[in-house]
Amino acid sequence: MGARSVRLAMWLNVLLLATCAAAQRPGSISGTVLDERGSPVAVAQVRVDTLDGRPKASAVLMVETDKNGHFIMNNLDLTDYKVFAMKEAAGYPNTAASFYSNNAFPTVTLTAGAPEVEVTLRVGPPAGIMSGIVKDAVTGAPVSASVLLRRTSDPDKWISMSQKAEYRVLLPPSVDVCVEVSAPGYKTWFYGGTSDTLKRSPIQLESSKEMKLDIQLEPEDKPEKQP
Amino acid sequence: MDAETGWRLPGSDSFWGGWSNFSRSAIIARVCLFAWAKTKTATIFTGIPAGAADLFPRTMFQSEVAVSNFSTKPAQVSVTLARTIAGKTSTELVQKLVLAGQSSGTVKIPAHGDPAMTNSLVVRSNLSPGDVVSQFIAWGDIGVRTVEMQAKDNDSVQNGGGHPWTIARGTNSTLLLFNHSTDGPKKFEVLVGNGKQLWEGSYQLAPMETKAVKINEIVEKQIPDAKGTVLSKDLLTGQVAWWTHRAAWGKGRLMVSQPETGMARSFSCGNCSELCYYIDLSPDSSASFGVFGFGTLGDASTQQCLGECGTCSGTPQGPVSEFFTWRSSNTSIATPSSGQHSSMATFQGVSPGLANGNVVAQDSGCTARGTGPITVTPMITSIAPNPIMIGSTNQTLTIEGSGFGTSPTAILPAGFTSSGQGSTPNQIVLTGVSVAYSATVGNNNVTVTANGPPSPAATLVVDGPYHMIVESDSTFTCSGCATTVQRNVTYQVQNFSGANAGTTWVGESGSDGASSCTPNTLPTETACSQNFQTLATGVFTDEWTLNSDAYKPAGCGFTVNYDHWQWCQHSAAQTLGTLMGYIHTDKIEINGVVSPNHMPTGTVVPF
Repeated sequence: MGARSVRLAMWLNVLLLATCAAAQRPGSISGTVLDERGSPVAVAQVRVDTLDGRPKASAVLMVETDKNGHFIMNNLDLTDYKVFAMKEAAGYPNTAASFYSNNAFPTVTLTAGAPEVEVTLRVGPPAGIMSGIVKDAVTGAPVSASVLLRRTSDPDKWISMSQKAEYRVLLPPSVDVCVEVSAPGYKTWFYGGTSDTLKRSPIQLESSKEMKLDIQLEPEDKPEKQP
Repeated sequence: MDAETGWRLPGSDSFWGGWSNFSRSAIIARVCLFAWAKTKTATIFTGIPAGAADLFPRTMFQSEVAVSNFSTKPAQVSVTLARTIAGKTSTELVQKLVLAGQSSGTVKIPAHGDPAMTNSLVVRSNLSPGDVVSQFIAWGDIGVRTVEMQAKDNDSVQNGGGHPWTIARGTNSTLLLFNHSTDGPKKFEVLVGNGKQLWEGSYQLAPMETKAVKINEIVEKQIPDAKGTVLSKDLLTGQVAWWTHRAAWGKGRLMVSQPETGMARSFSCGNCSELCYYIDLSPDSSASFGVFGFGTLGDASTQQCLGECGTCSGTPQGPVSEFFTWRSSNTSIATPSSGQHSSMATFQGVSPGLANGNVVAQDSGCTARGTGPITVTPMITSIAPNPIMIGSTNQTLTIEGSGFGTSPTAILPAGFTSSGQGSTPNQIVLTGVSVAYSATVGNNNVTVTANGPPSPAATLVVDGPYHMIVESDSTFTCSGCATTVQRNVTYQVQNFSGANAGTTWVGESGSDGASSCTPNTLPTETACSQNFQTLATGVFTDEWTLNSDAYKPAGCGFTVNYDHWQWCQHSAAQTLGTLMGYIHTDKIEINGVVSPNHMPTGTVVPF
């Protein structure tokens, strides 16, 4: 075999390896989700997001934990990841939002030397829960609305969520939060029971504390008809 | 040819006769070439002047009938005057006489006729046709000197006429109709129009009744016809047609007169109004139905044609009611089940194939025919299982119906295969049925053929991932970001049936515009090759964000031209929903909804 043939064979090997790498990424993250008491959390969602700062317009990589709180996420590129665990039904919110994470979240680095990493993700303590029904103040009809939550101490940390008329939102425990509820055709409602922004007040709920509050939205004033 | 001027009238097969003194003021009678009708049993003169006449207010007419016997035998002749005054009809035997062979005589007509000229004469004789000939003459005392009028044979085959009319410059046009039958009232149909407008009248005349239809009044007094149609007031000329449904029922003529000039013209050349030879079928000119099913043909409609006698054709004058008879050209394909003698017939399918529904109507020697094609097809009444899941294999598909015969062929949608078939005339059982991932999710068509036209399509639903709906929509500052926003929309992939699609392999195919940010990095997409699966509930979350505060200036970003989310397992990567909008550092638009507003839960993402 001549030198030319050897170089060709090596090049073909490189191509073959590259093809295999594209078909199956080598990285994986596995581990367990534990609550504030150290108990495993079943059916929690574990999401990862790259730390490369690249724009996203793609599906969130997500798996669910088993009954023992275990999860494994395969087929990952070798890079740095933010890792989030959530189970909203149990009061553990989506910490991909800085409103909930307060920019404190675990990271994982996958490298060629360590393509498989095992982590323990802790959630909790559970958030406070604010729930109720959003209604038309005049007709009493239920209204689907948007709920905006904002940390009073750090207004850049906010989240706006679509909600059905029977709403349920999670509030970080022991944190002052401004709550705004809005819907097309209605005046924005501020916690404190007012549509006057100057009269709004923050709400703070302890962990696992649930507050029931029905919200009545005033229809917007219709402009008077011109003669 | 006009006897006075030598003018030839266009379209006329007659000439114009004049009065003995050739006066300009004389009434001019239009005399057809066969005007000296040879009587068989009777000669008819319709609408004669006898005494005063409204059309010539200052003129009194004295009328006379001249009768000639050309045979060598004596002829017994009677002259009867039929008058209709104020709606009442009476007859008066004016005179009976015996004419010796090859002699002539005259009979004076009493001058007490109706001024509206609703007077008619009947001259009867006992001799053979052609032996006795009669002629009517009337003399006016002022203005109009003499009037001649053509005779009409009682048994003429002609049962209608068509004439030009005018009411311009003070002219009167009056249609005179006479029922000379003796066996009861007869219906006369009258059409007045100009080719664009049509007024339809129908008159019932008692035996020996004469009717004057004044076109001037119809136009000037805006008299509506039975359908409410009125002729426009500026209509001055046109055509009038009349007919009875049988010859020997009636006669008619059009009198066009102008009292100021003493002019009058009589149009009385006859036509035949016969059943047109064709039958129209509308709206159901054809029928297609299944074996044992029913379909209709009709309404059958016939027309009365005014034209040459015996041709059963000519100018259609309007619809006429007839007795219809429907038959099938092939009773092994379809048979009439009801309405065989009405305008609308119902046929029932016997076996798949093509046949004709033929309808016939007959009237006075004319036969009208119509045909409507009939298609009898197999019928599918049910398919099971339905829906059937895409990707399923080794299924048994049962098609129930009728008319499948002994060796039917089931035409299945693309992507379907089967390995075996059994059938009866009412059922097809396909075994080893597989639905490939190339099949179309949604409604598909199945047809059956059985040595003939195919059945109507029956719907077979192929179920599988079909579209995606919004479960939740939230916008927030991303973790690790101070100001940059992130929008997470959670979708559920649903089957065509509406159930969640379960774990589904999805990916996206998109196109982004250039970024206005520094750096101008664009996002990667979740391609099908990444083998991304939704959760077991069919749910996945799509995140749109610049994902870092590093992109400057604030508010920069890029457009998402389109982002097709697709079901990757389908061989043609079927699109479940398409997103469009933009991703900026401070706000994100998806399908027209700009953050922090949200797409409502349950929103179906358009394809």
